[in-house]
Amino acid sequence: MKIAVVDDDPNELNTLKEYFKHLHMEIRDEMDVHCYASGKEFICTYDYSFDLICLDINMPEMNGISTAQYIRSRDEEVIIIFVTNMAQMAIKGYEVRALDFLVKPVNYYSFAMKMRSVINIINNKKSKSFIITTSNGIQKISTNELYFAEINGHYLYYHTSGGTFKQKSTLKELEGKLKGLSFKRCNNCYLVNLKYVESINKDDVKVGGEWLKISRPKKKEFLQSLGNYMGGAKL
Amino acid sequence: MILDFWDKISYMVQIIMACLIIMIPARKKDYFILRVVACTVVLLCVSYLLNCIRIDEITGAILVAYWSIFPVICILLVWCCLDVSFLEAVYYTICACAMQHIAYDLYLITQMIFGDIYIISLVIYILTYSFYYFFCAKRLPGEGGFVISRELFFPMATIVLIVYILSTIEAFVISTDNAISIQRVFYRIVDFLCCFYVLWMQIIHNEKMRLQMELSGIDYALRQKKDQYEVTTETIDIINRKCHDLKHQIHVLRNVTDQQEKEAFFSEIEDAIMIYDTALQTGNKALDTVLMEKGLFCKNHNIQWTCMADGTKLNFINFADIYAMFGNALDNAITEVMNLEDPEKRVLSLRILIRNKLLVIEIQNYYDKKLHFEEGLPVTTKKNKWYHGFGMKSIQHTAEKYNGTISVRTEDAIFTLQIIVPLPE
Repeated sequence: MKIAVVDDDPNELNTLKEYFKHLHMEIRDEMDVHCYASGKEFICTYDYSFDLICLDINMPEMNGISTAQYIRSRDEEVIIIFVTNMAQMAIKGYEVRALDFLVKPVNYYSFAMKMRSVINIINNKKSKSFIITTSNGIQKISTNELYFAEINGHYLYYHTSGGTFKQKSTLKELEGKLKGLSFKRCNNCYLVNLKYVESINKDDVKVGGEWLKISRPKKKEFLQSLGNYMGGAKL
Repeated sequence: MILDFWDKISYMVQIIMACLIIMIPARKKDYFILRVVACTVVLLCVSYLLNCIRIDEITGAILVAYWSIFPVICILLVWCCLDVSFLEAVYYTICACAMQHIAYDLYLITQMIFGDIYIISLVIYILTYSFYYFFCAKRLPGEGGFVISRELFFPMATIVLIVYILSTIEAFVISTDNAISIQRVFYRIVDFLCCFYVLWMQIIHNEKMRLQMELSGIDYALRQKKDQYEVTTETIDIINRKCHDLKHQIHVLRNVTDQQEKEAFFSEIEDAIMIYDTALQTGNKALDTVLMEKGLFCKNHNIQWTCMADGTKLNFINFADIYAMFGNALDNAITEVMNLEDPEKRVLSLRILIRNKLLVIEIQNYYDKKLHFEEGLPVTTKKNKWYHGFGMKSIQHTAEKYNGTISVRTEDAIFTLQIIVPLPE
């Protein structure tokens, strides 16, 4: 996990660096922390490789909000967390889709609570590629492109952004293969990629442009998994 | 020939009919009719084959087991046709069997008194079953599903089971000669009443649950009004105090000349004004109100709270529901963190996450007491267990009203409550 901390106050930078070290002792996830003294300095070297950016709001020249706006115009995915002494400012974070904010002086427990979610969110985004044999030969499928899988008779249909592929297999087998990734059943026939869930109504879920039935006994669990996926809990 | 065939399937037909009636208002699976027809054909075949076995020689436990095959396979019918859990299928089938038994008892009683007349038995079945539909099936679970309470399920299942066993023994072991006796009539009346009361209890329980829910809601609303009054009074007190302090400080400032001292005063004033930092503009009035109130409370009790909330998408939830849902959830979290021994851990996080058409409201806090869960919801910590439990239940109830649900998670000493609600199209 690559992390950027941007703050004009060296003390704050140090505190956060120490906190990340401390957190690393607790959860053992790899944390590669890079520090920057200003928004300008950061965007000059910005190379899309970061998973998380902690931004101070109150900085001279280029403040945190405009830095975030710049980043967002180039990177939709990266997680932004503001670090600020004005809680009210943080509400503006919504405009740049910041995930959360930390109040200065940063309290370690508050930091740890939020970072655990962030790490889970990043881990939940993980994808995996695998090879399937279709009647037309071999096909590589990445979970990043897979909207949902459907079982029909003895065949498993992979509905992906690149079209639908068919393979003789079972949903259970696929489910085992995708364990720990963002997949969940909405009924006995469909295994849905939570990443691509667009909308839900009373009995159906919309994934990759298609409406699929949710069975009532599975609905609660399905919604909870979606919550876990969005909020950052281990899947 | 036909009569013989009918004899071999009539019992099955009776139970299937009862099952069908109870299935009318319930939530069905796709291809319901097809499923029903297919299952019925299979069950009738099974019934025919089973009835071809000579049962004259078998007695006792095996006989009871033999007759219980019929209702047990009906569970599969219900499970296959309705969109319900297995437990619910068992419940539906028990109700259906109880009903079939009532009709059967009535039939036996009339048979013993008036003799075996087909037309009378037919009328009895039709009458009992239609009565059953209006009295029971319609008033039991509907589209919204039915919560089966375990404490009621167990006695119900055992009573029906015992009635079943006794009835089998009575009919096939004790009174094999079909003799008419007053004891038999009495036995059948008792048998009938048992089944009737079991069903009646279900209806009463259902009604009671509904009323209790309503009553709890009213009671809770009253309590909340009272709480809110206290909080509002406290809030006004805080503001008054701060204003008084401010006036005093400004007054002193006039006479201060020392720059450093002046600086100190300024920062003190700044701090006093910071209470308004808790006032947020989220884009939703109800949310602003509840956040302002809880935020002030947190500030005055040294709870560090962060709130990342865009309320603009919340407008489809009505004012009172937002107030109750957030109020309840935050109250629970606040109580939880106030009990923490380490004051550093008194942090509270509220986030509203929106992705596509999904809304997730998430509240996180640390906890250090052991939590107990009942039906997936935590129930301890507060002295008044029921009250706290109801807070959670009420949140769940509201979430379900908007087609959503809640989830509670405890991990790494962090308690997470999520309210997950799909946004309307």
